[in-house]
Amino acid sequence: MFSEQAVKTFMACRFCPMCRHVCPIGLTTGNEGNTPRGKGLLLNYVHTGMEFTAEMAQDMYECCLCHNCASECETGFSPPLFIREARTQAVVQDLAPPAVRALLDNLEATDNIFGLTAENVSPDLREAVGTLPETAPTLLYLGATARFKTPDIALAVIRLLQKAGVEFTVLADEPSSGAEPGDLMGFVEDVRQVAQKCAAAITASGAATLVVLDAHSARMFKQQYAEWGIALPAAVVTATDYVAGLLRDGRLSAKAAGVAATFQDDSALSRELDETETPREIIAAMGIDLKEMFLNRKRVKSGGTVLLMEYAPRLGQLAGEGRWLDAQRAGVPVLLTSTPDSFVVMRETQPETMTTTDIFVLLEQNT
Amino acid sequence: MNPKGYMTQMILSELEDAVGRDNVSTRETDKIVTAVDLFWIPRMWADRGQYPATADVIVRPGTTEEVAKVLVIANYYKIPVTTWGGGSGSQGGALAVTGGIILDTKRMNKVVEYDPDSMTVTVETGMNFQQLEWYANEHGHSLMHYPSSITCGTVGGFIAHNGIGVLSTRYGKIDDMCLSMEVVLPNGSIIHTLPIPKHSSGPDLNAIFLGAEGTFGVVTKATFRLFEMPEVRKFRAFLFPDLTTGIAVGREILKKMKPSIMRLYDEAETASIIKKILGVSKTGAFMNLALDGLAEVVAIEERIMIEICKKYGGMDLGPEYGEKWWDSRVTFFFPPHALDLPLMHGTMDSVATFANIEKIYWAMKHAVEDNFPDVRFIAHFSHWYEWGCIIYDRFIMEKPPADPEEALRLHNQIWYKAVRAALANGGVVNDHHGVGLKLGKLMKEQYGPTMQVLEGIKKALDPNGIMNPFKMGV
Ligand SMILES: Cc1cc2nc3c(=O)[nH]c(=O)nc-3n(C[C@H](O)[C@H](O)[C@H](O)COP(=O)(O)OP(=O)(O)OC[C@H]3O[C@@H](n4cnc5c(N)ncnc54)[C@H](O)[C@@H]3O)c2cc1C
Ligand code: SF4
Ligand code: SF4
Repeated sequence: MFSEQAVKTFMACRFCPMCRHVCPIGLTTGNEGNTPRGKGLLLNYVHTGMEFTAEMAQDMYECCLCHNCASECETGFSPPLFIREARTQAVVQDLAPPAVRALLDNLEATDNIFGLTAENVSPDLREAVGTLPETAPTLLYLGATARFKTPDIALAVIRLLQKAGVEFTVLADEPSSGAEPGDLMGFVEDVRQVAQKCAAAITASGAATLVVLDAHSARMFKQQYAEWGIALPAAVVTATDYVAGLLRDGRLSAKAAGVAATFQDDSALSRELDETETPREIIAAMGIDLKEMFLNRKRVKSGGTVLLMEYAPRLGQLAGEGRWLDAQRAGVPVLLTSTPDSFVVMRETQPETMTTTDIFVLLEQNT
Repeated sequence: MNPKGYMTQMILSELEDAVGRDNVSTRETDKIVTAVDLFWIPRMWADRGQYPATADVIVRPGTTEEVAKVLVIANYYKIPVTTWGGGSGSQGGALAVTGGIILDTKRMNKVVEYDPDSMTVTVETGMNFQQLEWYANEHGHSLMHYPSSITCGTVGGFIAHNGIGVLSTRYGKIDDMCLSMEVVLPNGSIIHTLPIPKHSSGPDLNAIFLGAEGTFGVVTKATFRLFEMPEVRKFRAFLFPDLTTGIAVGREILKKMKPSIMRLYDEAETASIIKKILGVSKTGAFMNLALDGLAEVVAIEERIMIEICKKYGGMDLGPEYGEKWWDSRVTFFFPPHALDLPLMHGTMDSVATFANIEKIYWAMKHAVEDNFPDVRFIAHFSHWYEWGCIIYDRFIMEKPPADPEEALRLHNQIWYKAVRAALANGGVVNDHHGVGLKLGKLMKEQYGPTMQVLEGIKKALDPNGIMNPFKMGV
């Protein structure tokens, strides 16, 4: 039922309370089940014969796969490994919560969790993408959140690349990278096929560089594709890394934004992709007086994910609110984010006294 | 609680009314995860696929007032309430052994007041201690409570067991750090100890709740001292000819200064440490020391400390071991390094005066090794006072009996023999892990007629006996 590594991991975690202090879900719900130990203990029982139930399945979805537990584990165990495999079981045994099944249905029908189609993309973004060439040496991958929920961020990145004179394009009908289905049902064969389809589309674009705005997709391209042996013809670089490079090379230059702000690192970017400084380079380029937030860089406390918000809105809300308490303590009125995903979850849960601003949008306004 | 009974539904509605529907759970999974803490017995059962006793309902209050409402309901219906923090206690204290309510405190996790002038912080007790420490660090301060489980336990859990951290020799135990607290009594009354602990206005009421393991009420808020980060922390390690010498050195140093860290290892533990440091086998008693404070003061203290160690024939092993140990001090507690199943193991800390501490070491060692031939015993002395120190001793059995009943029986026999050996030689049931379910039986043996004081407090505060029944021996 579980891979050898997953069994080894939950057998280690089942009695171990050492990383509970960083779980953004457990910290905000106070629920003992929302700890890596809790989840490991349940799977230990399943392993020794207890029935895997819908309640257990539900518990496995009460996690935003932020990897904070894994990164605090001094021996390198990674609870997301067994959580993903448990989600596979939940789907296979038809025990996944209805809201999760609805997202999987959306993915099947529309290739994105929102159940939206190309017509739902904002006219501005559609038009901007429409003016780009068919093929180009650089391909910008936006991701579903940017396309459907934060077109402003997508547009800002497009304009920044244009201002820097980058020859690039965006796929008009961008396929899923497999990040969301991978998080919803584990890295199963179906998801590998989604990834292969996406890799084929990227290959067909003829691009030699793939700039990725969505951090979860970047993680997928850089790590999971490699694990599956799915070759990408293009070098994968995150949008933050790429734009920071444009600033460094003088292809973009920014003026002072005149903002005092704090910054929410994106968990996927900082922890899984090891990228903590490039967003800060972009922020520094705008002369922003950055007041670092409590728990930052690799230790960032996640404010949830769009995916979590979609299938468990209450948990998403709690995770966002939990992080805002820290953001408010920074004593500045603006919270900066560096990915569409972080922007959405923080903006959705934003207190009245503060605003959430994406760094690409701000940079575009100040170049 | 009969899950189908009419009253069960009424009580659940009342609890939901008190804390909100999202914060009352009768889900099996929530019961399972609160049925196993760090106590070896439920972990052994879980390891062998057995199902430990669970609570009937898990309740997660978010405020003191909600705790009070829950206790009013429980007291009226005479339902047992067991407070659950991080579940990292090793004595089974947080287990709902008679069913009823698990009151999980972790939603009460906010800093209430930060007072840099008085150097105090007031927090809700469900807050994870590492989160609190990071919060203080952000302000350039520290609580200086660094238990190995700082990431695991809650503020309330450490208060309930009167916990201790690795820097305690200088900065003290939780009872030295905690200035005042708010407690919800079993009848739902919200009470406060005086704002400061040092006064002549009646006895210090903090002492009643510190170490009371949730048997007298739920501690909901606490105020702690804050410390400035030390300008320097200097490490130094020594190897002494034997344990007796090591203890004499500790005693002597404590007459002159208070190191932040002072850890003396018995010969069994020393052997493996020395092999790692020197690469060769050497017998003796290894001591790791650290001094905290202003650089100038530490320089003087260090000179005197080295002189004392040398006077007793200590081999100076320099600062490197201590520096490395500090950086990796909790690595040992992560799997697979941590003591864990399939081993049987226990940490049986005790504390005594210098006159008794070595006697206790030998008595406990013999109690374990002479009576249980396959059981290893190791110890170190990790927290020191001017009058004595604690012994942190562990037993380890590689192959415990496969039969869970046999395993449980043997486990308890080892504990009883070892702790009785400590009691017979001037020690106490426990230093900082508490009594819980595991050692409750030994409390009467320890206290004798004095036990009636604790029993009297219990009777007065909790006449219906709802709070954490069968724990701490009351
Ligand atoms: C790896 C590891 C290392 C450890 N190292 C140390 C160490 O160095 N020093 C040390 O002191 N301990 C140590 N411990 C033991 C443990 O962490 C402590 O006993 C801690 O105090 C337990 O806190 P908790 O929040 O997990 O409490 P729990 O285990 O949840 O509960 C413990 C007891 O406290 C009661 N309780 C909890 N909250 C409250 C409250 N708000 N009001 C009233 N009663 C309450 C419970 O009812 C129970 O009786 C270690 C444990 C582990 C797992
Ligand atoms: S990930 Fe590591 S620290 Fe966390 S529960 Fe598992 S073994 Fe323990
Ligand atoms: S991945 Fe994040 S949310 Fe999930 S258990 Fe680990 S710390 Fe919690």
